[in-house]
Amino acid sequence: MGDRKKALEYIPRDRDEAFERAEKTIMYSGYLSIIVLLYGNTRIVWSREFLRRALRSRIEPSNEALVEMLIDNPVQEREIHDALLRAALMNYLRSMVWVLDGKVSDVDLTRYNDPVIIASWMMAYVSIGRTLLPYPDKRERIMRIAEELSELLSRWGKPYLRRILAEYRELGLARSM
Amino acid sequence: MSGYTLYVHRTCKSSHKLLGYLKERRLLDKITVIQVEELDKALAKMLYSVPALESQDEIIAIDPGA
Repeated sequence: MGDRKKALEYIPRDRDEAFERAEKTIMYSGYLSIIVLLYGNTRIVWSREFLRRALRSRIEPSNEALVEMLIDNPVQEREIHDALLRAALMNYLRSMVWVLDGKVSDVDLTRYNDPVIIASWMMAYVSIGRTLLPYPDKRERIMRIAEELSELLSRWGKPYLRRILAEYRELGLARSM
Repeated sequence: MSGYTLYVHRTCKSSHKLLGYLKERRLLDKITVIQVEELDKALAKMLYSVPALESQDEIIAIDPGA
């Protein structure tokens, strides 16, 4: 059955695919991707529960072996750094689009391109109260990441924004555009 | 009742696509759909991403490709 076959495509079959699924699961979560970016490693994310979800081992129990393999082999942040930055930029722009109800101008892209705003946004994004608030030890790292993101925003802000606005309209979220 | 719960959010394109797919195949009435915008006990669920599919109180699939 076609649907069954398609569902199985998402279940990794070997070590390489397992790493790929785990990395993608981090990328597709705004929350997890920014945590890994700010902390500089996957330690906080890398639990059996996370890996079971990422590898679909509850659908394919034989994948428990891959879960056990991955738990001892976390992905290094530096290996996925660029993809994490791109994901963070998309999510920053999404927040802007939501707050401004889709009316984001080129002026806004410049106005809100400030490492202090970006750093504050990231710190708020990953924390639950004070839990996982990456401060004070991570302050310098966060500022460095915020500078990188600010530069990426100057370079790619406009084309990324166009994609996000199209998605926003497609989802019927635009009230007065 | 199949015992499946699907967690979604209105800003999420994958959630939107998945709901469309389920509607097309008349599967929507077989599952419970929950918007995570104001989810009870959300922190206990550890739902760091949507869409997410739950069965027997365990998340069995999560974005991407849920």
